[in-house]
Amino acid sequence: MNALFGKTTELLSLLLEYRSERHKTIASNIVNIDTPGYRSQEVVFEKELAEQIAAQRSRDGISGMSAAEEKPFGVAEAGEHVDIDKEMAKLAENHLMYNLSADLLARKFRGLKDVIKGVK
Amino acid sequence: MDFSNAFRICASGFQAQRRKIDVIVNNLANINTTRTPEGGPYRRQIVIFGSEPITDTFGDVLDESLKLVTVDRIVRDEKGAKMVFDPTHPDADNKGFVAMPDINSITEMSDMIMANRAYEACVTAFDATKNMVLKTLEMGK
Repeated sequence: MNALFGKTTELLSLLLEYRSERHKTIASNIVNIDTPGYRSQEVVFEKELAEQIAAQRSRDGISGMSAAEEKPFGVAEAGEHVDIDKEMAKLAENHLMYNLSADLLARKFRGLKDVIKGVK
Repeated sequence: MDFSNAFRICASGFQAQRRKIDVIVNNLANINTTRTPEGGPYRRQIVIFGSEPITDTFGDVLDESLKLVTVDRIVRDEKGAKMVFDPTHPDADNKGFVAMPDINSITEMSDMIMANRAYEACVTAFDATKNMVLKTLEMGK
């Protein structure tokens, strides 16, 4: 499996999972814009993943990213009131990044298909 | 599907904001109502939103961090009535004052625009969700 798909699929699927998780959190923030006492939430990911990659590098002595077994992200309270423009910007950015990840994954599969079939 | 929760969150936003617009329209329509079943002039109503964690059909909490928005309660404005001098009005008291609802149409209109914008934000989030799902489905092509 790994020889054919490599780490790209693993990493991209993790990225898609992160983006969809983040999308849900942003949607939750947007709909609760008028809720008294609601604190905005954020999916924290980058820090943990960076730590994990650093740990892996020092262990294996290789460079390159690797997807973790479990989800390396979680939802944390940002501790602010919901700011609609910030949330909408995050929504748009997250949406584009999701599409990019999905596109990259599709390209990976298409590339594999081309190799298997033989490009004419 | 993983995205169904995102759809449900957006749908709860539609529902809550639409309910808010309904109540505002109710306030505007009753701006001159002096007779109500409870007696006295109409009292302005205010929607209070609350949030609750997303649950599955059995009522079990799916994700503690994802919050749906709900209409927590609709409260009556405790402000008293506005006394307007109009001795010809059938509901006027012996000094000629009529108790009118204390509703400011400008406040109501601006609240309505705000609810409308919040609704639009939910629509944008819904559209983004739909687009992401379609993109995922396209991946298999």
